[in-house]
Amino acid sequence: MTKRTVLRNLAILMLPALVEAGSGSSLESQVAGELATRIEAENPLEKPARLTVQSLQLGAALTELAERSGVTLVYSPSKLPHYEVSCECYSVPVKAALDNLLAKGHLRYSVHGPNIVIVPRERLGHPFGGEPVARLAGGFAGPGVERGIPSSFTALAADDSERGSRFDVERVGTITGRVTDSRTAQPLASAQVSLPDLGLGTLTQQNGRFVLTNVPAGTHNLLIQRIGHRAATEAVSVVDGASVNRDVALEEEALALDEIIVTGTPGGTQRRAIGNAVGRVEAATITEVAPIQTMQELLGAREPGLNFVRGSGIVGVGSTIRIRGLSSLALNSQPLIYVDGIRVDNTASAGPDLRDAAQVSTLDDFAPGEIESIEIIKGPAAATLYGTEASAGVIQIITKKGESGAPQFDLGVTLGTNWLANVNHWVGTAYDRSNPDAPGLRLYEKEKAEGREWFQYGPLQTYNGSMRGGTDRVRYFLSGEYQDNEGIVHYNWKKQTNLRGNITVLPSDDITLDVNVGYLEGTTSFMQQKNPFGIWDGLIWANAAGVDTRIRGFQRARPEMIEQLEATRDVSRFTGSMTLTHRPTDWLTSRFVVGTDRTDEFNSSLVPRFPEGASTEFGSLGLGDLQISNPVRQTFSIDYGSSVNYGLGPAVNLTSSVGVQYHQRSEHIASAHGQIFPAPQIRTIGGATLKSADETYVENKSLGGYIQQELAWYDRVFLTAALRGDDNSAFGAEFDAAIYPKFSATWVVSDENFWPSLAGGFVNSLRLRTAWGKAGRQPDTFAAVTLFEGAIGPDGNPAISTDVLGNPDLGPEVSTELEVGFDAALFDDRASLEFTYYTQKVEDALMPVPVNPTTGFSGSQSMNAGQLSNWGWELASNVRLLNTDNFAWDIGTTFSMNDNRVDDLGGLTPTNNLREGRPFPLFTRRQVVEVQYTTEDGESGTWPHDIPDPEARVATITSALCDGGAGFDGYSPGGEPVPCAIAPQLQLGNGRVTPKHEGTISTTFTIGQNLRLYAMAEWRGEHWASSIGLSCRYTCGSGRELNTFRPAKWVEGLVGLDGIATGTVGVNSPNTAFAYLREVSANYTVPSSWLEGLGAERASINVAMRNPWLFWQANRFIYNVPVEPEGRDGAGPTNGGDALAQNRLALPSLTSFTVSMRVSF
Amino acid sequence: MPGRTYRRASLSAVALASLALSGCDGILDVELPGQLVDSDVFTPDNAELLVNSAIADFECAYSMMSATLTTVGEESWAGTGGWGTAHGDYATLTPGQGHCPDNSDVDTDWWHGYERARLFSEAAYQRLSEEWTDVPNRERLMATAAVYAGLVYDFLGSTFCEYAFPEESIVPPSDVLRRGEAWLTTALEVMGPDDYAITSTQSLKQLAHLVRARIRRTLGDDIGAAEDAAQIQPGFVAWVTRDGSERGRWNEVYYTQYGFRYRTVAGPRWWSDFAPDQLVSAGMWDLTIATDGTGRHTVGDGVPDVRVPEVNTHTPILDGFTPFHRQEKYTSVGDPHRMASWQEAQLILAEIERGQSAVARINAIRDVHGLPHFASSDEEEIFSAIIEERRREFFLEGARHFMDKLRFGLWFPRGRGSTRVGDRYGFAYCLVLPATAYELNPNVPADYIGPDLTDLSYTWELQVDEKPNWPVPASLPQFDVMDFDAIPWSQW
Repeated sequence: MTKRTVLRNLAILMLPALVEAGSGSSLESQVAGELATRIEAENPLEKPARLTVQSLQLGAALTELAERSGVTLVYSPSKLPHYEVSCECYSVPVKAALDNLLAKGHLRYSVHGPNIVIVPRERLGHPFGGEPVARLAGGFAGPGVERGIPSSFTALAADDSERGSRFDVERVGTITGRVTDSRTAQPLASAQVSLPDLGLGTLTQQNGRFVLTNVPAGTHNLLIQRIGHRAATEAVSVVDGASVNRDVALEEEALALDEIIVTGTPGGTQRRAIGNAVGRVEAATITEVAPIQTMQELLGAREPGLNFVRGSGIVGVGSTIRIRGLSSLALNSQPLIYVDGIRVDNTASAGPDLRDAAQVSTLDDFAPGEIESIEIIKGPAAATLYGTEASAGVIQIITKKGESGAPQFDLGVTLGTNWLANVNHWVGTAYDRSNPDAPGLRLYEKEKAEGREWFQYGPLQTYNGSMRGGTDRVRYFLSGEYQDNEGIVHYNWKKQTNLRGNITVLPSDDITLDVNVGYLEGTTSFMQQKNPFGIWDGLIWANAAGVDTRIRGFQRARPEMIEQLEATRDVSRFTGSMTLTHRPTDWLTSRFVVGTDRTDEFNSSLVPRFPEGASTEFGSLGLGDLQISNPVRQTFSIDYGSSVNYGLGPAVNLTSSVGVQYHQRSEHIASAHGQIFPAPQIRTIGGATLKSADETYVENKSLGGYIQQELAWYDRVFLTAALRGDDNSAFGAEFDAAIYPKFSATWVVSDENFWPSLAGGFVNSLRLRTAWGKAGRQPDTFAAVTLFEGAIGPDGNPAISTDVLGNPDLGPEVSTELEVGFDAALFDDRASLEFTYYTQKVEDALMPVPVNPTTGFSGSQSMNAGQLSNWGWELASNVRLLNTDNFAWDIGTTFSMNDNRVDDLGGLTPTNNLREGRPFPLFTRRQVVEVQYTTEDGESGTWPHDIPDPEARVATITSALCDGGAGFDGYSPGGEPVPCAIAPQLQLGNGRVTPKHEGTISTTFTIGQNLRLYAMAEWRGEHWASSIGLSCRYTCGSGRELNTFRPAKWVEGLVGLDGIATGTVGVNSPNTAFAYLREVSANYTVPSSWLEGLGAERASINVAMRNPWLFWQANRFIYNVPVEPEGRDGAGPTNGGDALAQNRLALPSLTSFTVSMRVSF
Repeated sequence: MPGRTYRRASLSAVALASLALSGCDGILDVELPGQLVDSDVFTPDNAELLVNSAIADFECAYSMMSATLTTVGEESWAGTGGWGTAHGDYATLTPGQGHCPDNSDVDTDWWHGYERARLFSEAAYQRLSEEWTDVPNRERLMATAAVYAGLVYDFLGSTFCEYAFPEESIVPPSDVLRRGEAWLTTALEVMGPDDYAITSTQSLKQLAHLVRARIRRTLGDDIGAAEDAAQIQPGFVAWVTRDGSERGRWNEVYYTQYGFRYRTVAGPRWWSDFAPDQLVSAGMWDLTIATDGTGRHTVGDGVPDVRVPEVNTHTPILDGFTPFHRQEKYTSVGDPHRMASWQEAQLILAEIERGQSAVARINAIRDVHGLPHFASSDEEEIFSAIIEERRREFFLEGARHFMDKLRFGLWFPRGRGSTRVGDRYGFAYCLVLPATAYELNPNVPADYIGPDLTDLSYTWELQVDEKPNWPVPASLPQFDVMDFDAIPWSQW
């Protein structure tokens, strides 16, 4: 085929889109205009043929004709009969040449504008070339499969013209329209629009528009179908030579059972066949309406069982992610993260050391605007195919891809502001312990009154743009986003640029190549959280006795000094993957994925040299101190898999899959520390007087393979069995490969014939599912190997010292999970309900067993010794309460419960935080039951039974009794009272520092076709705080209410405060359950009529707030000190890499207000 | 041919999976450029490195010990709260991650350095003597390894109540010290007529003799001790080298005072609810020697003892209350610690010889420092003077006074009390191994919990029969066990 022919055929393929989009961009208008001009200017049949051929195949002859005459011939090569032709047609018109060439072939032709369409004379057998229509997902090949789009249908749609030509061209019309989602009003791409009785069909473009040409005049049934939506049928009357418009709004299916889910096997799997719950977050839809700036905001509270442990309100600081709670004592519970099929860095502690603050989550590096959807694979039963490291779950991020059609441009801008609501509430009042009669200090207000406002309304701005389009052979998505987000102090900001380019190429009908490339570059400047340098702790630990000193009552340093410190993270990150999918037949699919993720950071923490040197609040650091580090984290993944689909008769369909994966990750950190700068101008390590440097390199590799067999019975009962084997460089030399089996079963009961009569229409869809499987969690990288490290010997001679005593028998922690549940659609898809119960058993739990110190090694040695249990349930529902033409009201809810228990500590010595038979990490305190006291007035009282004057100031505690403990191990409340000094610390509440219960409720009002009002509230149930920070607000500095006034009503708090029995309930152990109104928004889609003349296809305006109202707390105050409910810092004891303490020093969540506008061209 | 293709695909995948799980060990090899594994460490080429490593870990531990155990020996008084206050309850200490080169958790883990030094020195000696026969300087390396192994056993045996070596059961201090004596004897045998100078001493042989003398004296072998001590030449000194390169190489005594105002060398004189002049701890009070030479309880006209230099900073230590008397013996983080000297040999001989011979040896030492002579004909007073002389001569050097208190059964506040600011301290006596050293040793009975220091009849195994009349200041509470009732219970 010549270049010219290719271009011509390309034009043909794009023609419908170009014509349809004629009112769109100027370019499209121009092209369409030119075509129209050509149509009017000349009849192609009348053009000179200039053809002379001898004994040439018909196809080749037609190509020659097209070349020589310059006309566009549209035909399906596969439909051409095989015979040779000869034609001396140089001086005759094209019409005569065609009559000659087609005479033997039972072919006819017709003119459509500038094109000549050649079709068989007989009617085609199937509207879409023989492909089944009813079930779209099964057996379709092509690049769209993983997103549930039957791309092969797109290719067939290119042949519309040949079907249309069977009708008389003088008696046809055109149907145009737009398909949207009825709930979101968003255009729906890749919906199939057809006239089944006529065998005509097409797919909607990315703007939701479609055009059906050559529709015979008359009334026809227009069928619109899309996976995940209910099919719609409309009667359409076509008038001869006219165009009729039909816009259709599809309703979402309550259960998207035919949706394709990324399961680890090539091509994915229909949801109906998966035996476990898989969460799906439609990112592209959510970002349209909700105030989303980070990935955490995108994912947070959307999926039951997925929890973000928030760090603080500092802009740029991230959170750790927990799926189904903690399930390891010693290892990180961060789930694996995949982007477009490759594993990426999932570090949640990147960035500079912020002095006990949470750090950066690399998940937040990605821009929500470039994400199409996210799938959450929650537990071992689902994650078996991901093998070792996957037992904490898997997050699959799928970025946006191109769609065939004319280029579509999307531009968005978000402007807004961040602020801290109720600053005075959080800061509270400080009192002078030594002078209790003095008025309290409200430091924030005092500073403000004196003209020093330290907090700001931080501006927020995000600009993004994307372009997507393509042909059936090449599709592209290009996007860019710039974000500039400031916190409540001017030196806390994040500026980041994200670029993405995704290209899909179909070099042939059976090969698809996806190339996905993302790059980001950004800088974040942090505010430090904790002493000695944070402004926040300086306020909440205000020192009332120090108001007249240099630090004006701040805990340690003046804000104007703190703001001269710097803590920054510069990051650049490249994430690239290539997926090659080969589908040589409709029963075989192979996929090869290769990709890498590389993150380069430069972290810096600077205390500049002050002219005053060491006499500043920063002491010797005031002479200058700079710490830098340059972590480079890299992952490399290769994934190959094949799936074979074959039938055994009409009832049974089998799918066999095999695959091999290789993952490699490394972290290389170069760091340096410089102290004492000679002069304030010097701010580099090189200029420091004292310098030190360090370098570390850690690498891990894993290799594994799986085999899976799926059996489908009448497409409603599915049984799946799989086996995965893994080896990992972290395993001990004596440990063989880890083997993980998996079984699952699912039954779409509602597809059974008996169901309608049984369910009576109440439950229109019901699927039962269960899954059992294992997954692993690898040990620390070098835990299996005995290591020595370098040291300095006498006289500077080299030396070594012992480092880690390895365990050559070390293997992975193995989690086994059983999951059962159901999905139901009720009231004719007006409501959906998904319920899952799961129970996990962690065996060979890795325990940090102390090393006998007399061996010459210290610390602990990892051993596969413990056993843990983790269980819970998840519930999600969506209900459309009202649904009229102009008004709809939807309510969505999620609830989840998670609990755990240490079954066996494997010989590890129990502690107050870790006991067999108890949740972990266990939260314990001595629980005061009776306190006898005397007041300064000499009065005696007994708390809580006999308190003569609740406000009287307590002078002395004469005795304090605490619960002596009950239960199987004496750690439950309810025992006989004993003196607090010898009382045990007992489990407090549910014993957990993470919430046992969580839930969300969201509501959406759709008013007319254009206005949507949305709100989402989040609730986290009972969990407890171990708060050094909160305690210190009584005991540190000048002291607070309790320490100052010591009222008899709070005397139980004095038991701990006065040192009579530390670790007692009262001062620092609040239940931190809370409920937050997280998101509210109003989204208005600008009517199309307003956009006419602007060249825009679609526009919307969104006004939103995040965290507008913390409307409930189990404990808003503890003894007049406010309780911050959800933040935590890194100061507490750790478990699996997490800080257990919720220190209450965390800056509360910021509130933000944003106005966004999005325009599509 | 779907069937054939399917089989081909399946076989390929299974083969790939099998390959992944069985045959591709090399593909999982990882780089470890920052650390060494066993097979890289114990090679003949590393013989010198291993001996240097033993010395490095020993020196780190010695420096940490000198800073830490001074509180138990009442050479200093800590003021940070937590375990370090005054008298640590060692039974509750468990090994942490830190050790000397890591700079972390240095207080509780100082003695790990001794264990690492033992590991390296014994491993090096064993391989040098049995396998690595062609290593250059083999005898010097063997002798050095043996001396440092002996030093480790000396300090472990002189401080712990008992010990539990891996793959052995519990052994008393005498057993530990005998192992040290054996190593030093081995070192001397390896050296034969030769002697070696190493970084820390000009005479490895004299160091071996002196440490063996020290051990033999503790074990009651006065004849052997005297023979060894007599080998030590005037001016002999051996050092624990220090420099400022990294925390593990710092002089910790200096750092804990200058860096953190962590300890004061003078015991506090007052205590809440007690008489103002009552001492909580003996401490290094009145650090002068009076003209009468008694050297105790004198104020005013005494001659400054250059061996115990200190300055009253007139500021509190870290607790904000206790007056900060800062030691001036070490003036930088790079100052070396003395660990053996001619003076020690003289005092060992003085202990053995007693009488005017001891007085002469004391005065010979005082002559070195230009201090007034001591004179007495009272045997008990002379004996006490020897102890006091050791206390001053070895001030902040290797917790020597703590070891003397164990040997001679001197006063320990064996009770639980509170500091002035309310920090509690616990039972203090000989050191108890961390519980894990018992629990993780299969040769120790599961229900064994270590020596019970609350049992007031418990004495250190090698306590000498004779007890010097070494004075406990009159202002100290005169009880072996703190009188609980004398302290307001709210301070517990």
